[in-house]
Amino acid sequence: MLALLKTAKGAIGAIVLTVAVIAALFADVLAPMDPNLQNLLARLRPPMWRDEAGQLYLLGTDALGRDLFSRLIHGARISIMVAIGAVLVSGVIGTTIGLFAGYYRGVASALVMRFMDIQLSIPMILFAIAWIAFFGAGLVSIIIVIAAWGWVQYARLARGIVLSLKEREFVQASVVLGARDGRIILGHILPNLISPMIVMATLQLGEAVLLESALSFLGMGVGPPTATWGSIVSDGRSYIDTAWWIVVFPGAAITLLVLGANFLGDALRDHLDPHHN
Amino acid sequence: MLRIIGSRLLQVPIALLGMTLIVYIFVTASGDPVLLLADPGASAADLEAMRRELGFDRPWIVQYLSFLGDALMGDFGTSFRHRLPAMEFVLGQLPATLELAAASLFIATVISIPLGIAAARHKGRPVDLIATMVAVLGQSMPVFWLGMLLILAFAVALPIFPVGGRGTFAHLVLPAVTLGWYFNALITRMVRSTMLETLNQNYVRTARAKGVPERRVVMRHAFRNAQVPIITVWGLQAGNLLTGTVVAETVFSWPGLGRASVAAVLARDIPVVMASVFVFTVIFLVINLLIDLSYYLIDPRIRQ
Repeated sequence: MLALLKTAKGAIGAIVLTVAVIAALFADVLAPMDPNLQNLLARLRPPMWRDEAGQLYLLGTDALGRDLFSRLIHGARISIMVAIGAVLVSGVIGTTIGLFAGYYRGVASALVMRFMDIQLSIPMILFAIAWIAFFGAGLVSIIIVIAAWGWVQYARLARGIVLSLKEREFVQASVVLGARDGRIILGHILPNLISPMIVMATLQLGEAVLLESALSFLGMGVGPPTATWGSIVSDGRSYIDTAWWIVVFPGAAITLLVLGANFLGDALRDHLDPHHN
Repeated sequence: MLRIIGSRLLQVPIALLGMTLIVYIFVTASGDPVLLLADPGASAADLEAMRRELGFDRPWIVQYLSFLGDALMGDFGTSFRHRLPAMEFVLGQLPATLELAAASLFIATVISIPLGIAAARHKGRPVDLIATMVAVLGQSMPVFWLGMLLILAFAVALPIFPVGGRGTFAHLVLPAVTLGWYFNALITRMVRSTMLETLNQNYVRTARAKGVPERRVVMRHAFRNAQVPIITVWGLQAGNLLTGTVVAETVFSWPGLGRASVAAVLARDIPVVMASVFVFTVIFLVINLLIDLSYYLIDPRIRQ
């Protein structure tokens, strides 16, 4: 694990993710102000602005006079919760389905494969919007939508790995020795599946952050007044010619977080799978 | 090959059926469309009459089957909001989306293929670094944010291009670059890694050893074999293209189907939702079919 942090990519990724998780966990303490406190006398102030009381608005204020820096810190909460939640749900479901589809070749397995092909060929954004229109835009609802979007990736990868593991000598030997399916799956297949799935999950973190922010931007994320990075950018759209900071900073935060997750994923892959390069 | 095409064609009705059913259930169950349509002052009797007129008094499965029957005859009903046949409205919005998608894929392809090839040929050199940075940044930046940054730079600070709308060529530039940037990143990465792989193959070394000019080695021997994975990425990105179009159309007020279909879902304009789901699903399936066919053309091994 330490070797991972010695590569530049791994270190940058780990630092970025740690900072984001800390911001999310301790947003109430870290944010200098209440993220929803409006001050209509201090609307659209630029970064580094100080009010009469000497209070610093590090990143300026939005159209309702709310402190942008505090809103960004609280926004990390939604991004991190949605990303981790969606990746856990889709990773566990996708890996399980992929494992069984690869291990037991039969009608059910073929049906699952067909279903995945079809899901990959339908416009998921419309499904997501319909789901949100139906179930509302709560945190859980968004996690489910993003998980439903992503599980196929895990299932395909897991199935491919299981198919090739089944041909390996150590698995064949167990079969010949009469081991039961449950023992082969838990003792031989699953341990070899864990690390590629962790790599996949890390890389999917960034994807989930991007999707959540896009949904928020379209007005289908966790609703106001909760601060999310996508919705802050969307709010700033109307003031783009006067207040660039509202648009620039939250987008930069999203980019940085996704970059960090991708870096960590790449570094993990290089670390766990030296053959990849 | 024929089996693959056959199974693809078989997927068309299943995907259409599944997708329309799911979306139909969600959209009808998510709220009473009559309440959104009627005047706020309408009486209960008016609402009831309207419900009966539009067929919403029947069980949803009957509604879905009757929708399906009409849809098979090409009739998707009348848009609640636009007072137009839904399919006519959707097909009217489609050209703008196709224009945007085509322009962005063009930009992405024109930049990514030379960039990816150059990066693979000069691994570790400045051009490789640039390509890697383009790929990494392109995949990490949200499409809507890039769009806003471009508006800030080239429509607000330097007023070269319009902020939004559709019409002239200038209107197309920023949205197409925004959407193209993301695909450019994906394709650049794919071209680079597959070219790195093929350039190390023995047949490439053989070609060099027998004195084939470098240009021909790269384009004929290496790049030809890199085409299959690149096309696969295109196919897998068809879905993301739609998500990207919805976002880019929203940022740039581009009057396309992506934005219209989102608006239709939110307004519960069921005929338009169903017609656009239908159109999008058909487009995806056609793209996937074309991709399978292109494997057949590119890779002679598949033909046997």
